[in-house]
This record gives sequence, C-alpha cells and structure tokens, in this order.
Amino acid sequence: MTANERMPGLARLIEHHKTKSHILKTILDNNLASGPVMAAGEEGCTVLQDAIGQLRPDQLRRQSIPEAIAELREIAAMTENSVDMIMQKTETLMELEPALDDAMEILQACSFQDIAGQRLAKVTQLLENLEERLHSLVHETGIDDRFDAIDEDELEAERRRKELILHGPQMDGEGVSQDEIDALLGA
Amino acid sequence: MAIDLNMPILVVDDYKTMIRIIRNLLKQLGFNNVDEASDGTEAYAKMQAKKYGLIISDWNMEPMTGYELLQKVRANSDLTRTPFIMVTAESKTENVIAAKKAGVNNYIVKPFNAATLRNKIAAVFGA
Repeated sequence: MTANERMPGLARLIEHHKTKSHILKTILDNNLASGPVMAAGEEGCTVLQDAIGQLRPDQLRRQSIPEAIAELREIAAMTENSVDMIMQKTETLMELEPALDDAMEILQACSFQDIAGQRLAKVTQLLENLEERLHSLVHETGIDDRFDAIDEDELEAERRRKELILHGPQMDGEGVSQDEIDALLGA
Repeated sequence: MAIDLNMPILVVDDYKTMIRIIRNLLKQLGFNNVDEASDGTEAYAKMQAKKYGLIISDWNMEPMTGYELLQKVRANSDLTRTPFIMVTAESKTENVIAAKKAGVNNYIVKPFNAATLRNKIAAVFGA
C-alpha cells in the first residue's frame, strides 16, 4: 500500500495546495509583470481576492485539514498499538529464551515508533497552525471560497473521487465490521 | 570503578515504547531496579521522594522537558550530583552544547542499542 493510499486525505490536501498555489503564483506573476498588485488599486485587490478565494481557504480549514489531521492521528495510534503487540510477543519470547539476541534487536527496532511519532506530531502541529491561520484569514478578510475557476480535469477528478474511488481505510469506530458485512451478504 | 547494578534508575520518556526499550536494555545490562516517569514534572516529584543513582531522560516532553528537568535537578542542592543522561532524537550541536552547559553527564541519540547505552553508563561512572 502506498503512502497516498494510506493517507488519501493528506495526499488530496497536498495536491489541492499544489494546484491552487500554482494558480495564485501565475496570477501574481502576471500582475507583478505589469506592476505590483497593490499599485493596481481596486482591480489589483479584486484579483488578489479571487486568487485567495480559489485556494478555497474555508474548505481547507473546515474539511481538508481536519481530515488530514485525523489521518495522521490514526496512523500514530495504529502504529503505537501494533508496536505494543510486537513488543509484548517479543518480551514473552525473551522470557522463554533470555539469550535470544534477535529478540533484543526486534525490541530496539521498535524505537522507530517514538521517532515516527515525533515526526507525525510535528506535521500535525503544522497543520493545526495552518488551520488556525486560515480561520483568521477567512474571518478577517471575509473572502469566500471560489469554485468557478475549477477546470474540467479537476472537476472530473473530484467526481471520480466522490463517486468511484474508495476513501482509504476507515477510521476507528467508522464503517462496519466483518460480522456486519457477513450478515449483510448472508455469507 | 564498579557500577552498582542495584542502584535505582529513573527512566523518563513520554513514549511508552521507548521506556519499555530502555527498561529491556537495562535489564540486559543487569540493571533491574528501574522506575519510570512520563515527563519532567513526574520525574522531579519521584526524585524528591526517592534517591536515584542515575536518570535517563528524553528531551522532548511536556509540560516539563528533559532539559528543564536537568536544570531543576542541577539547581537543587540535594539532587545536583545525580548522574543524568539525556536521550533524544535531536542531535543539533546547539542542543548538545546547551545540555552540556546545564550539566548533563552524557548524551545519547535515538535510536541506540545496548552497547551504546552500556558505554555511556560506563563513561558516566568512570568504569
């Protein structure tokens, strides 16, 4: 399973940002080529508002970023649980065979969970900060999300994502259990 | 100088996994008298209730970091001589220098193995 499959929300967020940042950069570059945006007065401000609106800051802070944060938290929790199980079994093996060097090496390798956990916490904090700043941007400027500049390819990708593509692993407590699926299928 | 294998050791880390790994490494080295704390505040409280022969502490913890714990320990005349090893995934020069200035006895970068831990403990006790 690729990282994108594991974290579809985060992958979508990054892709969305890439596309929108490119649009904003193009607009700003074009405007800056013929003079600074602010110098263009009201027209320049409108262009800038449109560009920011096309980034869809409200949707980012309400939906995409919280989804990505939830995905990261789920990864951290799942990793911790799995490592805990590996360590429990390894410790049992060590009690049976104290001189088992390989078992000690398995335990040492489990320290990746600590380091990966710290990295995940760092990215989560970054996303939380971004969410907060976008909230201020939307609140203070009153700029609405703009959906009219979405190109055809993006619309099609969005339609496929909503209608045809699975949304990655369920979060804990979401979805249905295997027993429920079996009951539904009568299997 | 021989190391007392029965000395009480306090392991401080906010990741249970890491505490468990260090516990097992210490057990492999012959140390069985090991307590744990999940941050600096809990560790400091435990240090005031019990005399430890060695502190092995992570840096990144809240509400009190390992660095702040080290500073508090060195500022307390009853605890100031307690050997203190900092264990962290961050190996920036400024962090190492700051820890050294604060009075750390040794500094281990994660991930590490039993041999590294043994060498650092031996260095702290001059063994």
